[in-house]
Amino acid sequence: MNIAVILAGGTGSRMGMVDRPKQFIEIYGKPVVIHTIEAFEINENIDAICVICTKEWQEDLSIWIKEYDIRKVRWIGDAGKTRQESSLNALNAIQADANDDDIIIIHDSARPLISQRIINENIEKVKEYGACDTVIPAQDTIIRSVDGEHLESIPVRRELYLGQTPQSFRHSIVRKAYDDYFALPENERPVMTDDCGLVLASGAEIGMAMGDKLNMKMTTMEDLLLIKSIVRTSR
Amino acid sequence: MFVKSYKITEPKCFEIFVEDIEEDKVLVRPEYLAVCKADIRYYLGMRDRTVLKRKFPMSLVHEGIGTVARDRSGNFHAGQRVVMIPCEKAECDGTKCTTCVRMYDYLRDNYCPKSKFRSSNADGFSKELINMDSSYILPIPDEIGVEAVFSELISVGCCAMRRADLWNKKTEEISVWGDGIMGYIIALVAHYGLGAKVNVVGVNKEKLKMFDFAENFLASDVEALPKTSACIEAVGGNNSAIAINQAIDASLSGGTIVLCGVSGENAPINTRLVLEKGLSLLGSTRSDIEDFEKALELLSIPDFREKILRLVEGIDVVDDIRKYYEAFENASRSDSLGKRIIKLVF
Repeated sequence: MNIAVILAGGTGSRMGMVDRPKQFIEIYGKPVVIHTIEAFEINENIDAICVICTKEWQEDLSIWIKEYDIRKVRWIGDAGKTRQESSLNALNAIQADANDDDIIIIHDSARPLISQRIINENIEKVKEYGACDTVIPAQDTIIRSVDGEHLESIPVRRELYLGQTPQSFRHSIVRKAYDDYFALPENERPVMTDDCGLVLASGAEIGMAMGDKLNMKMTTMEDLLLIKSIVRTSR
Repeated sequence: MFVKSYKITEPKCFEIFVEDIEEDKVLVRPEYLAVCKADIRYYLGMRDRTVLKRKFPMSLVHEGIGTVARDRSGNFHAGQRVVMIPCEKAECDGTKCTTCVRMYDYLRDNYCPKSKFRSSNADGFSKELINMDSSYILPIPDEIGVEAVFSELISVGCCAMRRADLWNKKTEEISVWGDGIMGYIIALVAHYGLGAKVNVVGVNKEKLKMFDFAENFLASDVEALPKTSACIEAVGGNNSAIAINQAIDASLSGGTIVLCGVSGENAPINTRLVLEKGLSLLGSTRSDIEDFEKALELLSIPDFREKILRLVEGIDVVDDIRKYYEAFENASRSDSLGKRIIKLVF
């Protein structure tokens, strides 16, 4: 079974909106999170979907899932305080139904322009490597600075990629990585910004699927503007 | 639902579009596509500029097969391979309008001036997903592979037979003008569908060799061509007139000539002989659902399928816009009988 995990637990503080997180903003009358879920809903390689969001939005989410006739969502889990906690909650939610060999595809709800090719490539790479990150080559020169004031170094660009989502794993691999991570005392857990970092730390091999620029993450109000200007209506 | 597509915005210029589409019908993912001459005319800008301005931006390609991504009606299942019929019938409340074609039994939805035809006055198949009316998709039997992408062309051949009422007549011999892909397919339909002896008239000796199921004649040497009551012209372009006049000469009195080629300039034809012989000339290019069904029926015949498969010159995976350009550049330059097939990946 291939299970998509949609992380929709963010608060969207960088958007500046006070009444709703970014993933619940509507584009052409439909919440961003639903646009994202639909990309997985219509992918024939995806068997089931788990959505993680804060308790206060779960009722709205359930209503939308019904309204938009989405049938693959089998679990709605609680968001954690961190991304890692949210992912862990997702893994716990699916635990009883998922086998070790199942493939877990973890995706940000704020990336609604995910392509079918990326989803499919993630699944293929997991079959090959056990884990997969979605990346795009860095096209700008990346500058490293530790203090934010001075240039520290300029890494070789051809070795650099920008990470996107989905990040996908064999269930047994991601489960072990999370169990190991959360077995550590809280103050000893390394800071991780994504699931691949955690899986990489567990020693697993991770393949790469090519993302695309359109698979952008809606983080700021400017991103929302960009996505709205990209999407045209054909209705 | 957000859906990506390639659209032509001006000659030789494609752009990626992301659109929020309706999803109330059957969602079909186009998978294998073939570029046709009409697409190339748009790509190269070989139409009147004002016409192009009115049509662009538009997704090209109207020959294709796909897989069903979702059908809430339950008629189709996800993953089911289907032929996509490129017509979209107009909303019709039954009130007869001045342009109504319903009184003509032989003209179907796609002759209604209000209907849409993909890659002509509506978006074609170069899209990630298409919201299609269930009556315009047909399941592909398991034994038929990627060659089903030629269903549209085969349906045009079937349409020619239907329009000339050849399915119902015992047609023992038929002559076809044209050594291009349309001529090849029409000749195949006549051979396997009608069981008729087929004479093919062409100009390219190499291409004519591919018509090994028919008797071949060079256009410069048609004196030996037997006279028949059914002739089909599939030449088009600036040689239309030559082909049509040869067909008029080669027709038996009372015969029918089906015109399937798109002429370049106005074609001067020998109407004196048309009148003398009492010939019927009819135009036929727009096929209908019934013709697609017949096409799939023919594709179920192993020999017919094998001869259609010869037209597949290769499959190009098109997973970005550069490869999409390449596919059109290659199709524009190609002079071969077959086509390279696009495997579309978004």
